[in-house]
Amino acid sequence: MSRFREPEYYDASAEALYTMLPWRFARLRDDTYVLTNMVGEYLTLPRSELESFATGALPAGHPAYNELKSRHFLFDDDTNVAIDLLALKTRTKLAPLANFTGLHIFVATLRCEHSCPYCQVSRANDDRTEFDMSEATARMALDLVFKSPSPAIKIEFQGGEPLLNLPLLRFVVSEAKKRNDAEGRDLAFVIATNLAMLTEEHLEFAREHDILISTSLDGPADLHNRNRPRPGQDSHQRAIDGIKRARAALGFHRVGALMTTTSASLTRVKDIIDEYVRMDFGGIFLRPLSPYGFAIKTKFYQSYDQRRWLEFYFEGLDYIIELNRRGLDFIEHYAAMVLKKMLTPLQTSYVDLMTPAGIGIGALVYNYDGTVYASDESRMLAEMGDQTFALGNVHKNSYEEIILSDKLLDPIEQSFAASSPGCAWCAFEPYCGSDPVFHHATQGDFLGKKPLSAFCTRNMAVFRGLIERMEADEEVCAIFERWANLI
Amino acid sequence: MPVNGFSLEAAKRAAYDLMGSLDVSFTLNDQTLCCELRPTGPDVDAAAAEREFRRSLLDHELRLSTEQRTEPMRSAILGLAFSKTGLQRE
Repeated sequence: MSRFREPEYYDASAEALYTMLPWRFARLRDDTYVLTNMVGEYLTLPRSELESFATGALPAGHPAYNELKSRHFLFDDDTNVAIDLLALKTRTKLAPLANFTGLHIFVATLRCEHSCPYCQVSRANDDRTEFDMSEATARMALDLVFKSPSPAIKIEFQGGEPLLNLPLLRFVVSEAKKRNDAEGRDLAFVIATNLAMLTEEHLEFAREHDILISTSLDGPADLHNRNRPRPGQDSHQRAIDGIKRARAALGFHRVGALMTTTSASLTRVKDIIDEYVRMDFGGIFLRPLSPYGFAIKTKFYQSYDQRRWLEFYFEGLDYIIELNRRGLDFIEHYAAMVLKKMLTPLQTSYVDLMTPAGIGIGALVYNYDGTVYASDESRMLAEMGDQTFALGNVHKNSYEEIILSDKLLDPIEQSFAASSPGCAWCAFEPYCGSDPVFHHATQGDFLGKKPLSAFCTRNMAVFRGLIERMEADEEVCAIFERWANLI
Repeated sequence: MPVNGFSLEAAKRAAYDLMGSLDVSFTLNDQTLCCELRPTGPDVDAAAAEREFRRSLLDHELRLSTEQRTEPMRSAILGLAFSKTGLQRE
């Protein structure tokens, strides 16, 4: 047997005999195109090389050939392992779907002492206990929670301000733990709180049950207090004090924070990031306003457009990259979740970046009155009088009736990106999600016309922006690789 | 605008992608597909939008031929990926 191939094999000018694997492309800028394979691995090529590859004319010795081969865009006589690897990676990406709902949101009360104009839910004054979840409702909701096959169950308390209904929180945690003794799930709890009413009793309860705290921090004091008014105008001071006390009581990394971008935030992105750095957070999630609930009523949602938000986002992203260059480990969470999809074989559990859509599958919401919603945004939409995504009620409907209802399955099926116009041929589809709630709210149908969709515009700009930054700078590549594997 | 040599599917996809800036009407005469482009508003640069439509047509034509050639592979990979889920009935 000869130990070497025939001389023709090494002739770089020879036309290759390769089989193309499924791939898509999109123009990145001018003559440069992004190519993605079935599982989102990408590379960039000039148009001429893309055409050469697409027509089967790319020579084996061309520098792009081995790149395309190693990233499963083609296979040849040398090896056809790419088919098995793509199948394995496809399975890996979709595997979490089989676990079904892992996040269960309990709306403990609508009461809140803040009056944030961008709030996506209608708050009730803090003396209106008729907007509290009852133990009977919580018990029925827990029946549904433990019907989910997910091996990991996270129960998140939201509001209003959930700490205003501490007895209900105590009941749910105690009851869930009791049931889990037999179930053996990986059970976790989160309280989403503004921390303004935080007491030692709350902290003791959270410490006893290893509960995570998620709070709101919109930036430095003047901006935060403007965005989040409360009696005394001291929301920022209370949030900062609460973060410090919670970290001391529960552990440094048991406290997270989220921000929302208002029109007042748009010129302040560096100040906002600096506030997160000052408070020693490991990252920030630069989030736009959502077109739901109180944010619509108060016209906050219309206060800036997508273009302006993207300028804000990329100014912030570039600032964070600069901080990383100077040696600070700090991430932007949305970018990190997208990068996880771009650079690893894994998926994110963030509902907005899931397809099939994450509604119901990624999260279920149990409102104070027992109504079950397909997502937090579905509840916000209901606050505007639109009950499209109200799936049933814990007192009236079984788990099967809720999960197998057309109200849930229709939007999931109709919005599935891989078979949607625009998404089916989009090179960025492997990174994107389906958001039937957003498109129903903004366009009146679950699928939405993507060229007119702010969701699509925002995501496409983010995907292009991340790839452009990696293409331009190897140091950014290394930073982004780290982010992708952190989250 | 006559677009000889392009498929109707490529033209429909290009029209879909550019619906934010162009309204496109199609007329098929014998073997010629005519696309009438109208800007969706006064702020649309009609010449730039038409250029974008032509580029989009070219891209979609290439996408369609690529999709056709790779469809059997796509089906094979998805079949392989889902063959061991345990969800199929015997």
